Amino acid sequence: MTTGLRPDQLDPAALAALGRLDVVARWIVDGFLTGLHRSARKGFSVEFAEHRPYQPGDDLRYVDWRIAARSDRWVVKEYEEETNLRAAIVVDASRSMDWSGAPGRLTKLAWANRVAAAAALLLLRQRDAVGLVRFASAVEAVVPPSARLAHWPRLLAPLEDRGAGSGTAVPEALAHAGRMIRRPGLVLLCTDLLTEVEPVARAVRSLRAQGHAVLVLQVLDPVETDLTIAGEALLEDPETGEQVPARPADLRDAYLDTVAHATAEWQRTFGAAGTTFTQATTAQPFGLALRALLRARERLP
Amino acid sequence: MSFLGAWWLALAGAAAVPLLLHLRRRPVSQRYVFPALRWLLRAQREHSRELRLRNLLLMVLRTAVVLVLAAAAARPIVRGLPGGHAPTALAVVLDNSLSTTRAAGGEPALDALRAAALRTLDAATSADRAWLLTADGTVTGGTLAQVRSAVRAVSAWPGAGDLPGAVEKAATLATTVRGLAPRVVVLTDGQATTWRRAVTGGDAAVTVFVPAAATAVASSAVVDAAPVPPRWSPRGKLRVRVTGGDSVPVTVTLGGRTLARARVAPGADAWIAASPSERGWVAGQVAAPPDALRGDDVRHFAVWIGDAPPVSAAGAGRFVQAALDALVADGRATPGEAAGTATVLVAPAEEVRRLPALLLAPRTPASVPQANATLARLGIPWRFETAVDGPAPVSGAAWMRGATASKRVRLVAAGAGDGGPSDTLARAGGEPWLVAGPRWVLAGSAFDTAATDVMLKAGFVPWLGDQLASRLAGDGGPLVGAVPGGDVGWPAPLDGLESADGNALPVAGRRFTAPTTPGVYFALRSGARAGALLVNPEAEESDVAGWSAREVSARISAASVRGVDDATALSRLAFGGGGGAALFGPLLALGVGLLVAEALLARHGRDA
Repeated sequence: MTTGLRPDQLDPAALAALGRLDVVARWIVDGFLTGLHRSARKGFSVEFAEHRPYQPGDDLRYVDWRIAARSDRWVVKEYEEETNLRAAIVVDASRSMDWSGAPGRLTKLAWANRVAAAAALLLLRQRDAVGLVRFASAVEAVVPPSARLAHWPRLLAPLEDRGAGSGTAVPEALAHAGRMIRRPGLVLLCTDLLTEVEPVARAVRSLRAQGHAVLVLQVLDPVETDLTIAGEALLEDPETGEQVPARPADLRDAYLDTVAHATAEWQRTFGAAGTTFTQATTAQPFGLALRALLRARERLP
Repeated sequence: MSFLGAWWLALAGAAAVPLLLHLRRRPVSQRYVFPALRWLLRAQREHSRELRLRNLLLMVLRTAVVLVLAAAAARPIVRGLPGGHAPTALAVVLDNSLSTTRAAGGEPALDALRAAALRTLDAATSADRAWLLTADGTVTGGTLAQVRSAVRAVSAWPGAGDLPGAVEKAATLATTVRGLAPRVVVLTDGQATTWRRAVTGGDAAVTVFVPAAATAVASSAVVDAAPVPPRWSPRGKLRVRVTGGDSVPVTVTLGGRTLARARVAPGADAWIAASPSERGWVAGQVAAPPDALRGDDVRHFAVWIGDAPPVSAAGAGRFVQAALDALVADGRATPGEAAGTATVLVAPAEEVRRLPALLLAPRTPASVPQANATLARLGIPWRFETAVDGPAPVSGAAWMRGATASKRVRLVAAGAGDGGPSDTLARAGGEPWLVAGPRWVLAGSAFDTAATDVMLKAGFVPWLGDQLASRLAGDGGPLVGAVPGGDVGWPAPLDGLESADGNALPVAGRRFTAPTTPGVYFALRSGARAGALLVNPEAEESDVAGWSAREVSARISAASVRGVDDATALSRLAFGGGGGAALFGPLLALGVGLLVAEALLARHGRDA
């Protein structure tokens, strides 16, 4: 597979159209790891421990072919868990997330779900314990952390639901995640951050005080970042139902300025809290988010 | 300030469109879910003043663009500002008629007019359009260089041409170009006869230039040279008339040899008798001494000369016989035998057997059917009808005044016959009485005192002689007069023309354009001469009485008419007088600039 065809770098909508959530997530992780092996960042956070006999279902990539060639027996390489990190993936499933600015493009929630699924698989493959919190106006689903690979399908189940909440209960969800992983770990928040800054900032600071590393992935649609809406329109907030007549083209300058200010404000807030903040659009490949996750993970024990 | 296209100012009304669009509440038909509405609202809140200002600026820019472009389209001219003249559609009318060849101050008037035309065109710019029109009807357009070249190449026309027509055509040309100031410059020698009729210049501004010296030169000329009668048999006379300040010595030549020399007093007819030996069509000319206007020193004429026709008037009455005796004595007729085929018969219609003949009314009403049978047989398109008794006044030639017809037979047309087209020479009681055609003359009365007293008039004998010479003795074909380059209508189709010096000119059909060189041209049909075309300049072209520029201007009606006799002033006034700056370019540039600013501002709000 060439670099240009790596799933984690493909167009998200095109990739998502090829299979179910779990299948796509596997492709993303495999592609991502392939890219890592080709890069200078070899030695991803697992280390070789011992050999064990091959059993059906084992990943063929871990078969030690030199031993197989010498002794005509198949053994697979076992890796020692480097850490016992506990991670919580917090996914915003509000109505504002369940929206796409253009036909054929993934909704923000669909994009976040695939990133969350891929991130969970990636962490599980490192023997990290991974849990999930899905929220909208309140916490809607919680999957406690576990480090077993078989735990992954359980994590995927809540991600199959559509978003419906009329609010964005980020502080509650973060507090729930903090309580769920108990000892210092990693919290990955996938949200569009179309909410008030201060409550979120307080919740993040609280998590940091508990020793958790926090990675905030802001997911936006390109229309939200560029305001490419033509003509006159009655713009409606999907969560509050508020309607505003406007000619977006006339407001574009001011809007982009406002978005830049809002982004800078989030960056300041999360930077002050020692939190990693990454902004992505649903037109970008999933690998972007996974790279941010990897960088955050590498800073942890 | 004035406008070349003021009607474009109506476009300024469109400035209300951006204003209305700005003020109206725009209907919104599209509903769009937009999660980041909070940011949009925040942008509106935080930039409301800036947005209002930008929208206001856009509205002002758009309104200004419409107003400026409307003003530019109206082509404003600001007087008094430097910068040349407004873009102009300039039609230069150059008088190159014969009269402009007369020398004044050592040079022909045409040279002075040509120089003034070139000077005027030198003031034209590439934004102008120019045409040259001359009195002979030539129109030249194209680049300024081409028009200047055409002005230098203009030569004198041997006739009067149609200068008023050229002015009207020039005004039409100048006004057909939208967006340019329509101006006509007329350069003329001011000859009064040229400007007899009023001239309409339409919406154009007309400037008339007449050189100051153009009206001061007198000329002598031969203005008439006409054979009387038109056909000599073989004797005849030539009527000569001249103009000038004193008696004019003239030389008459016929068939290339000098016929006579004489001094002719201006304004009076001079008669020169002749009995030439030539036969058939002969070309002649009457020449006056050279003077300032050379083109009218020679006047051409043509005459058909035949032998004195033999005439038989048995039975025509004693008055006709006495008249013929007088013509015979004068050498204009000879006694003829009725049986001779060339003899002209004068007799009651029922007794005539062939043409040529002068046919009188039947002797008795009982003879009318027989007379009509004769007319039908001879192809004469007239018939006798009922006898009319009682005096009826005769009207026709001047010499017939006071004559009456007391017994006559009414003549009625019977459609076209072989006798060809006919002329009504006289009427009695308002009805045709004397009619004639090729080789025949038909009278509604007998020429005796019981029927009419017309024979008792002094003009009867000359008239009878003219009829014998012109209609009854031979058939040389018509003599048609024309001006140089004029339209000619010939009674019958021609094969060509032959000049007096033997050169052939190809013409065909009945209608053609006369040669531009004055002279005599013989009409050819089936290899024989079938008439003569006489080309002379208009007699009035020799009338050099002239008008000033102001007087000529008074004959022209246009948007504005000015007369000037100074060439320097002409080149200034030709483009509207004291100059002025055309604001079209600056306004267009401003409009484009405003459009660019609007586009940048609008784009800044959408893309930046």
